[in-house]
Amino acid sequence: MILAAEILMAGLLVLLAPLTRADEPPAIRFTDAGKRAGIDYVNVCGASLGQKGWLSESLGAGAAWLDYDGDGNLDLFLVNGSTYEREIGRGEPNRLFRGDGTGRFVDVTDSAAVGDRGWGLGVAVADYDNDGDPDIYVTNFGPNKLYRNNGDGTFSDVTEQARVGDDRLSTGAVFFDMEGDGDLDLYVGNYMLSDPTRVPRAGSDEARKANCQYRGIPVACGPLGQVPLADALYRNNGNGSFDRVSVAAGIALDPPRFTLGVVSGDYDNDGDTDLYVANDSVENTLWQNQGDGTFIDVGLVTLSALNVDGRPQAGMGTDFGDYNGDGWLDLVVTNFSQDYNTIYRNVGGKYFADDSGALGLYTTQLALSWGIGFHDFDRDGDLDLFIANGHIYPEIDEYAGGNRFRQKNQIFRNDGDGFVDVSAMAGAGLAIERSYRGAAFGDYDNDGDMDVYLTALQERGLLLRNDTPATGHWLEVRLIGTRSNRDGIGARVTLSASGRRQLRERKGGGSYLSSGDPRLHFGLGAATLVDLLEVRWPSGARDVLRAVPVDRQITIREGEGLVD
Amino acid sequence: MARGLQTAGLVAVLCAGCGTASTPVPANTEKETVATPSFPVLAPDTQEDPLAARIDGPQPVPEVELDGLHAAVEQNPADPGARRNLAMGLFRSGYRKEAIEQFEEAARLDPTAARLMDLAHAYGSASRLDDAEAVYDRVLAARPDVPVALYHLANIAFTKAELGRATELYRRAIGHDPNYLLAHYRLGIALKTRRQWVEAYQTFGKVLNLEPGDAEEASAFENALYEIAMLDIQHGELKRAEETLAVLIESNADHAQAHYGYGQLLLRQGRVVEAQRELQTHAQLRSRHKPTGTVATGK
Repeated sequence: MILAAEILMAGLLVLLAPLTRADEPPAIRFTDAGKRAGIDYVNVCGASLGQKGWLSESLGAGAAWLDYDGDGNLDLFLVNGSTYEREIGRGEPNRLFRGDGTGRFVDVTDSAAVGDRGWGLGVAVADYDNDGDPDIYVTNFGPNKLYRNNGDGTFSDVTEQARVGDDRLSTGAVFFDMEGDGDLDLYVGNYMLSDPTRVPRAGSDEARKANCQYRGIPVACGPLGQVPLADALYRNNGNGSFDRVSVAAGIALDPPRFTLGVVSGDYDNDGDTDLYVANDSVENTLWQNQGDGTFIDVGLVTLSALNVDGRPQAGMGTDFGDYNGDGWLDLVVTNFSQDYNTIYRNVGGKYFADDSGALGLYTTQLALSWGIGFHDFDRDGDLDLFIANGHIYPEIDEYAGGNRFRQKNQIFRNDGDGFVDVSAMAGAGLAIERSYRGAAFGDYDNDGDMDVYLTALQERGLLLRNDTPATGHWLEVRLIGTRSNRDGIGARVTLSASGRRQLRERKGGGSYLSSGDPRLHFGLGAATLVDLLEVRWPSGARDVLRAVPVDRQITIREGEGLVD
Repeated sequence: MARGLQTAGLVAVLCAGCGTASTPVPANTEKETVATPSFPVLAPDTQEDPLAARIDGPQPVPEVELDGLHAAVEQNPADPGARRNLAMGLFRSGYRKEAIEQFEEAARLDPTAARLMDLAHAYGSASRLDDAEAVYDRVLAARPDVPVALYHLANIAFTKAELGRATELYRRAIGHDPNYLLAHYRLGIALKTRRQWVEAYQTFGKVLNLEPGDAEEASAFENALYEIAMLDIQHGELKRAEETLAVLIESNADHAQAHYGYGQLLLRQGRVVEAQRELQTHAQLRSRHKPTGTVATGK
């Protein structure tokens, strides 16, 4: 036995040798592009820094990239909040900025009529009525809002007609087609009861008695010990209205969990869309779609609810992506400081392995992370990671505890063996410290790489332009469903180029309270031709393209193939 | 004890060479006792946070007892013992700022290593890490051979994500006390966090060569076993991991992480029914420890 142990130890040494190789030179660069962009937006979420008394005042807000006017350029929708002191509906308005594709934006909030003044948190964008233009759903601390795009540059508030005005503290939301009937349903995450008359204010004597402290620092109470709110699932009736089907669909958890981030994806490759829900301080939820409009939580049995040690983390944002190119969607979840962000490797759709340590994510322990995205920022053919950071407690700055309220964002380059933190060498844009929250990813300047917009708590947001040297080729794919939902949400695109297969799935929300570019972006490295591109639509139909030229945006219509 | 008997054989199997690289053990291997904290803070949480653990301490001191402690200080303001007793009571009742003031005064009146260590622990528990470091450094300036001060400095460095410094400080603590079980264990965690898998594995192995002295060390001992098993799982050594986890669970059936780790291992082997059983056991154990009161995020 001892001999065996020695042999195994030697084997371990050999096994580990490749993991300790030196980092490759970084290439990813981000530049602060806000100065000339014309985006005037400062997030308000509760009282000002130093005056915050409750956890709901530190949740921040999300952002969304969309092409609301169909001109081929991404526009930007930014959610804004309110305070406990203001009357309901008197908060800062949400904002819509029309992009011209060159990096300049014009505020069209008033003309578009989307400037709701509720306490906004999250946003999901999709063409729920299948009329060819994107609609907007805003989650609020208070009644949520659904805006139908009228197709003429304006929107109509159709919340009442659609019956999706959940009036609790809603957070992440995603559109997806739960039963494959061709229209988009809606999952809405809810957080916790945040009633100032029932929850002690941070720093109060009641809060002290309730042990509302973090590392000895008096802070806002919760979420543990507070009242979690149940998520909601709305089934689209196809006539402009939705029915709430949470119980019938099986997503009414008892007790509920403290939901923040939600993302959709077909993790088990069975052709329907599943959901992953990041919950704060309790186990996360993986809703496996049974294919008939019902769901089962398989988080615990697939090992995706807890970390490798069986411990719940404080889930904030989340994303699906096939980082290792094995044809299965992996998961990433952002978490609290003094913890790590978690990558769950999908093992054949059967279970997930928390490989965060082996992949290099243990180094994220000082950051408190929110928005997240798997994207190929350097266009080398594999998915990198962008993580938005910022602490939740402004009080943390009064102490020398290793944490700061304002933090830098992080970019991790996928080097094939794991993720290497290249943030320090990724340009001045990554050095800007704020308390970031939402992160929306999109190619707003149509140059073939993924940019990002970040919201920041009580501060100006940040537009980061990807200025990575353009060494890799690329392809962006827009989908138009016909039998399937018009956006193609849930469609899976598999691409083969130079012997490498890549997978993307069209999502209807994700990251943290945000929604990204409706086009699917592929980095292709040195490949100058896409050998094969296959779309598997939610309807089950398939479109196959061969010999697709690179460095362009293409449009694929279900049943017709390449149309543009 | 039974646990020691059960693990002795396992240590021989797992760590035939684990302890060979350690510093030679000096004749006097007794731990520093002067500065060992009697104040229940800064003990490492073997799961994640070496500074947050035991912050809550025992039950809060009743207000009436606090009144008595206050009275004792008022009667004899120059008595560092009275100051310390009051500080302890205040801290356990959540009056951290006031507690630190009393610890500071006690250390001013009686600047011994013990009182300074109290103060440093209190600073650390209140996230005043720079202040805590300064006091630990002060202790070390006078007594460079206090491994517990090095150990707590290492914990602070770990909390600040200064992993290289933490590693160095743990090693220095071990250099002074090669039998410092908690320092070995935390060093293993730091090395694991730095992806130094082999060194981490060996360091956890060294823990298994030491005899736990109290409940905290016994917990670290078990967790070192667990970490070894998880490193084995990570690198595909499933058979050995299974042996380790089986012994750990036999030794402590309530070790929730071990059941979860075992469940992962069984899933990897396709033994789904057995895996579900382990995961259910883990869930049951975890439900016993769910907080009942209001707890801040990240606590």
